[in-house]
Amino acid sequence: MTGAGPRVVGTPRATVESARHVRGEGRFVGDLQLPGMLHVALVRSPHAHARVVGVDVAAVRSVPGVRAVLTGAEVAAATQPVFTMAAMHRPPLPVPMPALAADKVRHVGEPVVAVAATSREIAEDAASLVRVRYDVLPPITTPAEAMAPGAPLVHESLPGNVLMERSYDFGEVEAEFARAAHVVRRRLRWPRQTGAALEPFGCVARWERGSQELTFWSNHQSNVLLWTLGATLGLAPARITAIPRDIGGSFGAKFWQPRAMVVCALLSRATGRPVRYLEDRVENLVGGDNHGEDRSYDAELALDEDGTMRGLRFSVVEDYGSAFVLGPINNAEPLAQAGGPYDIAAVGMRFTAVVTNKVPQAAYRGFGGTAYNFMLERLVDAAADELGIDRVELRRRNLLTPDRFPHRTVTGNVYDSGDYPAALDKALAESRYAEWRERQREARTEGRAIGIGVVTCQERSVQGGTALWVMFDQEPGRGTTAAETATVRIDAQGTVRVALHSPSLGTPTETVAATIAAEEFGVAVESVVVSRLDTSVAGPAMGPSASRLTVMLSGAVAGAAREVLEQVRPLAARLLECAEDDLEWDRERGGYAVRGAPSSFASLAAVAALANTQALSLPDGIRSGLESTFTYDHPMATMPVGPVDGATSADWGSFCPIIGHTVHIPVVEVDTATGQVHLLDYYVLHDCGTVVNPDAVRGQVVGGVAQGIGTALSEALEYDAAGQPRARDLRSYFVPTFLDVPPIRLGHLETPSPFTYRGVKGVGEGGRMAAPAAIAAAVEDALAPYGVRVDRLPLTPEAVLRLLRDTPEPDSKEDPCSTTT
Amino acid sequence: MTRTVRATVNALAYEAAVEDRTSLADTLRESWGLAGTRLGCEHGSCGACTVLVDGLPERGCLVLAVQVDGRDVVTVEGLADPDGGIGHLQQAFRDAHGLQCGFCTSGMLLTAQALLDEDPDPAPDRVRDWMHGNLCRCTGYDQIVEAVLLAARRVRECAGCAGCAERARLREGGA
Repeated sequence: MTGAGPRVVGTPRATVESARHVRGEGRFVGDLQLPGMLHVALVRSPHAHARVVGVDVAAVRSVPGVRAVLTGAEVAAATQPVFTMAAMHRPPLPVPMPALAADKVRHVGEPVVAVAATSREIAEDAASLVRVRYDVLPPITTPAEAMAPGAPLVHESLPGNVLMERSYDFGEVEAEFARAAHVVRRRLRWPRQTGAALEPFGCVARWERGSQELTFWSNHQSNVLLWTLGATLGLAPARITAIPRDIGGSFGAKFWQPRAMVVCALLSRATGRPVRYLEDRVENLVGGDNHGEDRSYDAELALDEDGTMRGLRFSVVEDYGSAFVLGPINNAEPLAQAGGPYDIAAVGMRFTAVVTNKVPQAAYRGFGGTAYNFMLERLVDAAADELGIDRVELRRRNLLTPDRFPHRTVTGNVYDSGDYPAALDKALAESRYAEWRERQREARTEGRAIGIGVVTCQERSVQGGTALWVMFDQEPGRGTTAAETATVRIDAQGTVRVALHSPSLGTPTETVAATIAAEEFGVAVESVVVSRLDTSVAGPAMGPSASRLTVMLSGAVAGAAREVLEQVRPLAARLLECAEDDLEWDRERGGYAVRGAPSSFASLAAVAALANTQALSLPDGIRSGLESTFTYDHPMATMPVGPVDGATSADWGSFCPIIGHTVHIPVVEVDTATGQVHLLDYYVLHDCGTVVNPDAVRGQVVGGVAQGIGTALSEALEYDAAGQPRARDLRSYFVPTFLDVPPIRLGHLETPSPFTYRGVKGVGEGGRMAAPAAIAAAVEDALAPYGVRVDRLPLTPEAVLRLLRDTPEPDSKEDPCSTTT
Repeated sequence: MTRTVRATVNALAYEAAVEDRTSLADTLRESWGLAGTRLGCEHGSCGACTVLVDGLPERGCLVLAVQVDGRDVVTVEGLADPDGGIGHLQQAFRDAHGLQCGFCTSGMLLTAQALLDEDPDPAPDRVRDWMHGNLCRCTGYDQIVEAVLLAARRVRECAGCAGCAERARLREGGA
């Protein structure tokens, strides 16, 4: 606890979670079997936009095994609207997301009817007998169509299809641009994608009608969703309990999954049975509640003659799909790192968010920051090219230096610590950048197109709530922070037990908790027992998102552990018959010893026995038990201040202040005959502060890079002009395989945060946040002799061939920028 | 229509009345209580449901239960020792951090087992090629490749200890 440096933290070890997973003993929602459980099949819309003019379920009810049928009209009659962020907006936005569509469908795959039966097969067979009659309407599939005069309305209550328009100036944007010698401009397109975790969404609901208790077992990612379902279902939130299961990956896509949970709850209430819904893969891609950001940028970077960056200004048009789910977070949160690692004095953001006939936009690893970093780094590359300055050198000239921390950025967010020049130097050396440049020159003489990308990226963590204030124009009195809670207990046998108060999305949070507890108590990691509480007893805990949990859990677990150690101290003094001040903690043996008399020693087990079972022997005034529940608020958060309504020099406060950093250097070879991009090498320099578990950090970084490779080269959720999704399964939505991801070389730099437990920072998202920009830069570098510019992703073979032929995109409908400026 | 299917699963006899259309994966999970076989796509793309049928990797979601009548099936539950210990491959996945969320892991383990049964000393490229029908969305694959190579080395160095021999015998369907 005191004195010696970390011994357990930073040591490689197998994760706690892997013990059950290598046996197939993970506890996923699909494994749960409850007596009498029913299975749900959903009838989904085949149309992007249509009026529902008739729903005939008569044939369904007579199918043996069918126990209940639910229509959109019945849902509307029985519930309040599903909570989305539309309700948080001021004024509330009239864009409902019904659990089942009643009068209108707004995207292909929107659920319309639900059937509950004694098996999934019977439910699916019966669902095929449902007859829905549609009056098909013209679909809106791009922002340009949405904003065209006289466009059909996705929601009749929302004239013009525009949800939000906002404009913010941080710093003196106009003045910085006026002073600058050069302004570079790019128009950039970012494709809709999704996390596509291996495990699709699923939930089991059990509504006990007598007690009015509703229990969910599910793989939704956040406790926050539960707070909102009560209002929808007409139950006090305290009557709803969520019991966490193992989650087979989320990457943001399981953050907000209300529709099927409402359906299962209503079907359980109707039947008195537990009801299970498991999404299939097609439903996951075209009918789930979660696609990632889908945007176009018109962006400008202002620089001095010598390359000094002065200002960044951009206008973003965002396609939120058919509802207002988590979209605004994707636009606001990236401003935690608005200038990246560079010293930029002013940032101006305009954004316009529209509704279309697509799946609602929610979250995908990076929360909008992946697209944002693509925009920023593409501009930096463009500026270097236009100014005739080397791309690496331009970055080096503008990096914040270590003497600047903690650094208050132009948006108000704070960077706690870092050493970006050292990171860049180390990355260039370890990637063998100079050697690759030499090989590139040789290859070009042979007609081969090899390219190298060098990009940087910030990785903000902990995630406060004030970025969301964009939705109500900084109205005070709203949520500001997102705490995390842990309980530490020493049982009568002396075992250290840790209870976590939120789910895990499949990252090793139990390992983090066990490691921190072991570190604090001086016990073996393997001896620590970690469990998860359900929401009926959980304290404030938002759970995983935005790379926050290592920081938040270590703060919560260490806080609780230290409070327990303070409870141990008077009991140890009683056992050793000495004064508390004479005690010192002996990490080696895991107990208190009398200072100067090490043979007088009280082990944790001895104290635990006293504390838990011998109340008559306790000192006066001390009750039985050794336990603390500690709620950790993230450090360095500040309130937004200053002008509202987006006036000049807005300050959103410090909302994501613990900042990691990464440098990515991929090397690609482009086959100019086929358009195929081959990754010859991939180097990542990563700084997430103090590393808790090196193998787990490596897994987070490399896994993120792999997703970034998919983002850059193969993944896209495109819709055709009729609003039909082109990617419907894993044979048309191409997530990278073993053959698409090269071995990733990893370098570590550790700049411990001065403000967190032992200096940890977040680590979940940086891999994906940086890789698309890096690969785009590398491909552009490879194709420099052809004069190619990379302004959009993914760089599929077809897209690369189009670049090489310098032909415009065949489907101009896909360019929403064309009518927006 | 419904038929009775009888198979040897992890060296034990199993029987179920199934419809012709019922997949092996659904039968394992829902009828036989072997839920370690995961379903990630149900159309043969992701490999999470991979099991061994007569020693060869098959997609549990594409094989019908009626097709395994009279055959030997090994699932993730069959990779452990009868006394509960785990084998080299499972231990290597733990030690090399070859998983995160664990949802692809069962299929990865069985696909890798089939590789090691055929080639006790595979090169890294062979591992990537052999395994590439199994998707993982968490790890980026490097640590899975390392786990398979680590397991191969340990099996070679172990050279037929009693535990290895027993696991091999059980996978081959001996009882």
